[in-house]
Amino acid sequence: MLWAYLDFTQLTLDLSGSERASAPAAVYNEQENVIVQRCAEAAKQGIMPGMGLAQAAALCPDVTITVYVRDKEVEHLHSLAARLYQIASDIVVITPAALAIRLDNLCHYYGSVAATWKAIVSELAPMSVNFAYASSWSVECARVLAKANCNDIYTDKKAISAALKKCQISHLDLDHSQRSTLHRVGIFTLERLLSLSVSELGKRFNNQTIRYLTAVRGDAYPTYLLYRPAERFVRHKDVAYEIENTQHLLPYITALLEDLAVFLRLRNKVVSDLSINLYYRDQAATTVLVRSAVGLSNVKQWLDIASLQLENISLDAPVISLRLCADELQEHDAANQDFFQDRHQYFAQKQLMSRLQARLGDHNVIVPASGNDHRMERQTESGGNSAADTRSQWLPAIRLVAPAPLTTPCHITFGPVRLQTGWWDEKAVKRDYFIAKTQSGEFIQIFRNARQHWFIQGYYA
Amino acid sequence: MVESLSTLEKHPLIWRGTQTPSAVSRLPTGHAILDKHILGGLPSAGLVRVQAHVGVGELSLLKGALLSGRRHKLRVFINAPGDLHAPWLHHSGFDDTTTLQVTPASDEEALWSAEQCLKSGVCHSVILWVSDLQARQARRLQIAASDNDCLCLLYQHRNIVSGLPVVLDLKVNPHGQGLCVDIVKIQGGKPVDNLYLPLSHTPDNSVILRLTRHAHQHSPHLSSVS
Repeated sequence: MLWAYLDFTQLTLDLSGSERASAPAAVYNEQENVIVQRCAEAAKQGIMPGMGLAQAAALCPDVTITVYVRDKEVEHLHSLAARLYQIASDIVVITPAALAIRLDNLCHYYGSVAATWKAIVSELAPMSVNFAYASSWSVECARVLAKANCNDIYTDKKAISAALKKCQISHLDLDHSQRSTLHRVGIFTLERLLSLSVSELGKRFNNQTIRYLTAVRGDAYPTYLLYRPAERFVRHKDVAYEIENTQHLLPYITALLEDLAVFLRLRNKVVSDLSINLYYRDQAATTVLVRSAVGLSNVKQWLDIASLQLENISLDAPVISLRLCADELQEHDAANQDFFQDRHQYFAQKQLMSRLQARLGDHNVIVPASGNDHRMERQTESGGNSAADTRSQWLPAIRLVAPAPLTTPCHITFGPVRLQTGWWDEKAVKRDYFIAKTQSGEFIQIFRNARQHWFIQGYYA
Repeated sequence: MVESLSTLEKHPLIWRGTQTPSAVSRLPTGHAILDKHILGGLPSAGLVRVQAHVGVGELSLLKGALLSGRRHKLRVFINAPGDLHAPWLHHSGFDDTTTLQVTPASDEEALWSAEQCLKSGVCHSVILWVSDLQARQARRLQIAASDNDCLCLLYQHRNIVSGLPVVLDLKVNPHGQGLCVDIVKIQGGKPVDNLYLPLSHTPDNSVILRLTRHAHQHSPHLSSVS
């Protein structure tokens, strides 16, 4: 077996993208009061991991401090794993910031270890992450070499052994008490430790340590939990500054949608509902639901709909981060699409509806269908059944949203038609309907209610 | 001079009075007199304005044109003066699945929706009610409509005199038992006034009246009996 170990040394900095800004930046762990990561510029100023905040600030007053959040780093690590999963099969996610990738079985596909490694590096290049790496016979051993900053892909055992001999005890993944035990028995170098036999080790150390050391030596191979890609899409993004205008959210949403598009494309799925959570500094987060009438996977189509939806939203407080979730993935039913149907038309129509609904609201864009009721207000229902209807001969084309009192003089040309219905719910009606013609020649639908009051309800356009 | 004239003649929108202009496909309204004067029907692409009060039968007059042409394309009603009545749509022959009603909150949104629909390329016609329309906005709609081969039928109920950049401008007034149509402007044709079209788009009580009249005629017999 040959495993490559990638230790992402400054994942939080890579995530916030401050490396590119060429200003000194460091990541600070509040719990332990230490600097955990720093960029190259900060390193030049003398800031080292393990320093306190005061010391770092004294060395470099204008250092940008980012607070370390483990969960965020883990989430980003998973997105890296998801990316690499497209080109590699066996990936072990080692939280908070490392990945191990098995190389030997990939050689069948890429031809050689070097080519495999090249593919992995080029896949990671667009993510602009910094990492230390090494390869070895086991994950544990590769980890030791990566910790020692070998940054080399070894393929034969001799080279690995030679590199391992140069490493220090401090590169091992041992805690303080285990290390002091080694010191007490007079073992100061890794070379010396690894030359001990298993029985010798057994006298001094517990099982866990022995298992670890044998794995480093390559005598035993522990089993690893391999990475499985997620079933649903959730991605979080921090914005670079507090955003008060929804327009400025769009670049971040575009980036998230691009991730989503890759996610969906790989699974050959589409999605028709997205939720965008907006997080504020003090207030509770809000959720924006973005819906499409038909499942989409394309960035541009989603962006069109999402931007229209966002236009209608006013932000009460500045947004500090956002999250995009897609829960229900739908099958991309390519088999059902007949080429001879107006497939483009169908999608373009759905797209048009989605666009209009996003801006105007769902209930303002409807396909009028006949409702199953005699009352005028209920005869048109969005999504109602559209059974053929013969009673419609005398009905108007346009119905007022609410009846208006009749004020214009007119004479009746048709009627009466009495409607007395709706006894089963609260909105019972008893009305006599007429068609009337006003003096200016407009045909209107009027009715007289039980109290002999007259109203206009529609126009015969 | 002759040379410059001949270059002018090549322009698709300039023609001699003796010639008939290049054929744009037409959607017949079903009224023979009207169709004759508007070159066979409403143009299938472009902005058409109808000045009429709501309720004179302005939709019924032109529904023939709205129903002809490609069936599977959308007919979008934007900013109608009320809700469209589904039974009427059904009775008139509009397809349940390809009729869309859009209710925008403002004129601005109405124009935006209209432009989106026109540009989508999936609409047969966009029927739009806007009270006020600037020449610039009309121009925008006209270009969107003609570029995407879609009819934009604009209803305005106030008499607005300004010459908008439209393909066809009609004025519809009620007259007796029908409508009186003025062709204010037509691209490629001549304006005509006072076209009388009989139209009965509502049922009336004529049957009852005839019956009651009939009953009155026979009433002497009844009275004589008593």
